[in-house]
Amino acid sequence: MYTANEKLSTANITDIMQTAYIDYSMSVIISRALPDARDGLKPVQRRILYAMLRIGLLHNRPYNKCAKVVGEVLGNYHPHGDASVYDTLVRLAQSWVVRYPLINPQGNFGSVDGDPPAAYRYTECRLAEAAEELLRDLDEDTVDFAPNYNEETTEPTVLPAALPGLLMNGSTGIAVGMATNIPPHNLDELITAICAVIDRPHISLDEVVDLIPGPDFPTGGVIAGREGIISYLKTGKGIVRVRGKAHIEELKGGGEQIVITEIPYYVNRSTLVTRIADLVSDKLIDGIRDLRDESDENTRIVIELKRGEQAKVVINQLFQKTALESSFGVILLALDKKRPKQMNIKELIECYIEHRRDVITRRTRFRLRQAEDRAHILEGYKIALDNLDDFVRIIRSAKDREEAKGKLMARYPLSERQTNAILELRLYQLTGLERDKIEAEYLELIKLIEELRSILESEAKLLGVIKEELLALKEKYSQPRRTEIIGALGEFRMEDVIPNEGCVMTVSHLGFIKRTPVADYRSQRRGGKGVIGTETYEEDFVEDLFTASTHDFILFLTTTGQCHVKKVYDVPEGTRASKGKSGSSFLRLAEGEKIAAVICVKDFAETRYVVMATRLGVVKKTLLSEYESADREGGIRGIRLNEDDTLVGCVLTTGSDEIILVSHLGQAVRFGEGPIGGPADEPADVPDAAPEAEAETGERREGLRSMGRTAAGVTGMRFKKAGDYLEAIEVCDPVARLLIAREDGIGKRTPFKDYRLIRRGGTGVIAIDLPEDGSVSVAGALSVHDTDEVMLLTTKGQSVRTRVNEIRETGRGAKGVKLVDLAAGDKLLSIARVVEIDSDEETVGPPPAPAAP
Amino acid sequence: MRGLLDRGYVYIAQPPLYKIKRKKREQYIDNDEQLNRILLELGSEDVTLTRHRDQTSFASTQIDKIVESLAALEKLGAGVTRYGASLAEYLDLHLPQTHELPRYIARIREGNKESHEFLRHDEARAEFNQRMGLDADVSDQHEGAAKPAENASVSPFGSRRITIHEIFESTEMTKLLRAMAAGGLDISRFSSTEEPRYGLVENLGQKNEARTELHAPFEILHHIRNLGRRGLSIQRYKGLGEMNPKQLFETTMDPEKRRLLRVSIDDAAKADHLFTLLMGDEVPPRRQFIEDNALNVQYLDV
Repeated sequence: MYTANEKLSTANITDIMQTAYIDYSMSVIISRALPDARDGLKPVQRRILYAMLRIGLLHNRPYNKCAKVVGEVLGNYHPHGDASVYDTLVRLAQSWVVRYPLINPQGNFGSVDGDPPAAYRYTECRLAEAAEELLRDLDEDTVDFAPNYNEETTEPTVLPAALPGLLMNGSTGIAVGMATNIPPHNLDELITAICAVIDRPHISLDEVVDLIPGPDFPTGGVIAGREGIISYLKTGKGIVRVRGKAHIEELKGGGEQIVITEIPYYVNRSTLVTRIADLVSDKLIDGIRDLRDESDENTRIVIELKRGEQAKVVINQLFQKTALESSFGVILLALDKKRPKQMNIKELIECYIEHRRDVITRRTRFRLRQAEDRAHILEGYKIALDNLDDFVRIIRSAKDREEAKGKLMARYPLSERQTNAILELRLYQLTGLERDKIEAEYLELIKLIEELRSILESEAKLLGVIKEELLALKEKYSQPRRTEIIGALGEFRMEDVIPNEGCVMTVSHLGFIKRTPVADYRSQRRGGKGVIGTETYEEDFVEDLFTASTHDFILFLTTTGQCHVKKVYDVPEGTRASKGKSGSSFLRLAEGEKIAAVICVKDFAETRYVVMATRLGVVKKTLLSEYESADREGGIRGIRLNEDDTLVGCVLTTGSDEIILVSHLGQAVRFGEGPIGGPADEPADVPDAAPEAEAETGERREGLRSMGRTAAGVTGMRFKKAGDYLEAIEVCDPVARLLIAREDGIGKRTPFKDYRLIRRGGTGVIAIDLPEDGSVSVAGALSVHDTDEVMLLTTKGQSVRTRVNEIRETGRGAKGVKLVDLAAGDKLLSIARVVEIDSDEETVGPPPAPAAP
Repeated sequence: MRGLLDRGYVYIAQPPLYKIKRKKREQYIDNDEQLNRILLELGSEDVTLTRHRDQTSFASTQIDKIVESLAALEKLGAGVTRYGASLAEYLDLHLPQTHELPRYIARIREGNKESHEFLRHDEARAEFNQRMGLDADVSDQHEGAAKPAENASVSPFGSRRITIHEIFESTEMTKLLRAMAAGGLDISRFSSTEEPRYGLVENLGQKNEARTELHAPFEILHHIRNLGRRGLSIQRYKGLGEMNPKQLFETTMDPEKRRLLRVSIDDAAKADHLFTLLMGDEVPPRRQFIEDNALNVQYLDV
C-alpha cells in the first residue's frame, strides 16, 4: 500500500473535520455568500462589474458578448464555475429581480415566468449607468486593491459605491450557519434617510425608521401594515407579507373578472397561474370560470368569475391559497469589517456613510496630490515664461539635454521634474495666448487646491460633499415607489363580503352536503307541504336538514373522533336538486372515516356542551367553546377513542338536559347530565325491570361532568350481553318521542319519560323486546316529532318512507307495531328522519342533529 | 466506514499548494509558511548586509536569522497596523531594559483627523480615560469581544470618537525583541531615519553587482522578500486539474515522494458529536461553533 519511507502523518478525524469545516465555512461567509455592507456586493458581483469596467463595457458603448465578460471574470478574478458567474451576471440584469439593474441586457435574459436565459454565447450586455455610479472614482485611490488569485493583477476589495448598493438593490445569500435576505428599497427614500443621519448623527432609530416606508420591490405589489417592516428596520429581522395587485373589471355581459397586474417579489408568474388552475380543477377554489395569462411585458392574469360570484371572496382565497400573497423573511446580515453582522437600518446607513467618508477623503487626497503636482509644474513654467529669453539662450547653448537641465537648475530654483517639464514644452506654448492659459490654469489650480484642503480639514465640508453627491444622484435616478404600502388590513374577513342570510343545509344519507338559499325553497312551496331534497340520486336521500345562517358554524364529528368546524358559507352551494359535495372530500377525511354527526351553532358560547357517545358505550361531555379552534385544516381531536372504538353520535346540550343511549340489543339508559339530586334528577316514575341499574355505587354525585376536549370520557352504558354495542344517542325532548326499530321491521314510538331515569353507567332498561335467540337486534333509534317522516332502509336496498304520526304511540312495555313489510331474508338496516319543511314556518331553528347511521 | 478508520485505511492525499519556478528550477511547496520561508531564503542568497553605524557585515546565516525574526515581528504586529498605527513607531516605544511594549492603542478621531496614542499599561489607560473624559466602564472592553470599546454617547459623525484596543501580541513581541537583542542586533530604532543605516549588496563582486541603501530594519525584510520573488514564477494550485498527469504523479501519487495524511478516530463519540453539529439539521449550534472558531481559520479560499 505504501512504501517504507513514505511521508506519512496521522491526524484525528475530529481535528481534520474541525479545521476543514472552519476553513470552508469562513470562506463561504467572508468571500462568497454574503454582501459587503459598504457596497452591497458579493465578491463575484463586484468582480463582474470591475471586469466589465476594465474591458470598457460602459452604458454608452456597444454591447458585447456575455461570454467575453464571463471569461474575463474567470480568467482574472474569480477562479470558480462559469455557470455561477453567468447566473450572477444575468440576475444583475433582470429587471424583476433587481430594483435598479446594474447591467443592461441585450437578448434573452429569461423572464419572470421562470424561463431560463439564453446561453452566454448568445446574449450581450454592458454596464448600466447605476453600476457606473458604484464604480465611480475607482481609479482615484478611493479603495484598497488586493492582488487577484494568481497575483498577476489586482482587484478592488470594495467599490466606492456612490449609490447605497446594499439597501437599494438588496441581497440574498445562504452561507453556512447564517443567511442574509435584504429587500430592495427606494433610492429616493434611502438617500433622504442617509442625509438625515449625516445631518443629525444622533438621530434616533425611530426617526430613521419613519423615513423609510419599507421595501420597494421591482415587481411592485402591496404590503399591508408596517409591523413586519418596522421589526426588520429596527432589529434586522422581520417578516414582510407582500401581495400581488389585483383589480376587478366588469364584463360587457354583466359578469366580473379579476385581473392581476402585479405579483409578489420572487414569485414565478407561470407557476402562480398553474397553481390557480390546479386549485380550480381540484375544486379548492369555487367560482372561477376561466383563467388566462394575458401578460406581455406587463403582468396581466385574467380570472373570469362565474356569474354571481363575489370577486372579493375569490381574491381572498387566492391570497390564502397561492403565492399571490407571499412572505419575505428579512435578515439584514452583511459583512462589516469582514465580519458578518446583523444590523438595523441605522447601523447599515452608518456603515455606508463611514465608507463614503473614507472614499471621499481618499479621493480628495488623491486629487490634491494631482493638483499640487500640476501646480508645481506650472510654477516651473511660470518661471520659465517670465525669463523666457534667458531660458532659450541657456538651452540653445547647451550641448545636450542633460547639460541644459543642469544649467537651468543651477540658475533658477527649479526641481528636476519642473525642469524636465520645461524642456518638454512645445514651441507653440510660448505664444502669448498659451501663456495666459497657463496663468489661468494655475489660478484655477490654486483655487482647487484650497478647496480640496478645506474639505480635508473640515468634517462638515466633507460630509457636505457626500450629501451633495448623493442628492445629485437622487435627482438623476429618482423613481416613484413601486410597492404600495397600505395600512394594516387586519385579517381579511369573509364575513365582511358575504351577506349573512338564511340558507338550508342538507346532509344526505350517503354523506353529501350542500347549502341552498332559503329562497329556493320558498318559491317552490306555495301553500303546501312537501318533501325537500328529494331522492334525485338513487339510494340517497336527505337525512338531515336545518336552516342556518351563512355566518354560522357547523361542527362535523367523524367516526374516528376528529372534529372539524366550517363556516356555513364554506359549504358548497347547490340547488335543491343538486347532489352536493361528498363530506369526506370536503373535510378531507381519511379512508374509512365517515361523518358521525353534524351540529350547527351560531357561536361557541360557553353555556352549551357537546356530548359524544361511542360504540363501546363511552360518553363524554365537553364545553362547546373548546371546539372553536377546529376550523383548521384536518380538524382537531374531539375525543380520545380506544383503538377499537368509533364515535356513534353527538348531541348539543344545555348542561341540564337528559340523555338517552340505546344499545344494539335493545337496552336503553336515560340519565340526567346535571348533578344528581339536581333539577334534572326527577324521580323515576316507572318502576321497572333492570334493577341492576340501581346497583351503581353512589359515589358519582354528578350525572355527567364536563371534561377536556381530548379526554377519553366515562362509561355511559354498560352492556350485559356479549356483542352488544351502542346504537344511538339522543337528547330527551318532552314533545318528541323515541322511535326504535328492530331489524325485522317491528318498531315502536314511546315518550322519553317512559324510560326510567337512572344513573349513568348502568346497563339500562329494556327498550324493545328482542327474541331470545339473538336473531334480531335493533336497527336504529331516533328522536322524532309527530310531523316528521322517517325513511326505513333495508339490507336489500329497499327504502320505505313512513309518516311518524302513522306509527302508533305506545308505552315502553308494548310489543310495537310493524313498520315495514320485509321480503324473506331482508332486514331493516337503519332508520333515518326524512326532514320536511313547512312553508308557513318562517325559520326552522337549528335542531340538535341526530346521529347519522 | 468505522472499520476502515480503525484499521487506518483512510488517507487524505496532500497535494502541494504552490509550484515555484526560477530559471530552470522547479519546486513544489506545501503551504504558505513554507513559501514564505523559501522566498526569504532565495532572497538572501548572494546578498551581503552591512550596518553603517559600525560597519558590521552580517554573514548569510545571520541574515537569515535577522530576516526570520523580522518576519515574525511583522506577522505579530499585523494587529497594530490594522488599527491604523505604524508598527515601527510602536516597536520604538519598547523600554530599553525590559523591551516591554505598550499594551493598548487608542484611536482618536476628531473631525476628519485620525490619530492614535499608545497606552503602556492599565494605569496609563485609566489616566487616558480621565483625560479624555471617557467612562471607564464603557471603554472596558476590547477587540475580540467583537465590539471594540467605544465612547457610546458619541456617534461616528460626532466631533470625537475614541476606540481603545488591547494589543494581545505585545508580550510575544517583547520576547522576540529580547531574543533579537541577545543575538546582538540593534533594535533601538525601527522607524526610518534620514541617513541610510544598512547597505544591501547583491552579487558582490560580480558584473551585476547592485547596492541598495536601507533606512529601517523592516526595509531589509521587504527588500529581501522582493529579491526572493524576482524572476520567480509562482503558481498556486486551485485544483488538481491544473497538473499534468506526470506532475500529479510526482507530487501526489508517487509513493516515494507523496505525503499522506492517515485519518484516525480516537474518540468515536466525540467524532459523532462533531459530525452531528456540523452536518446536522440544527443551525444555531453550528453558527455558534463557527463564531467560536472563526479566528482559527487557516486558509481562506478567495
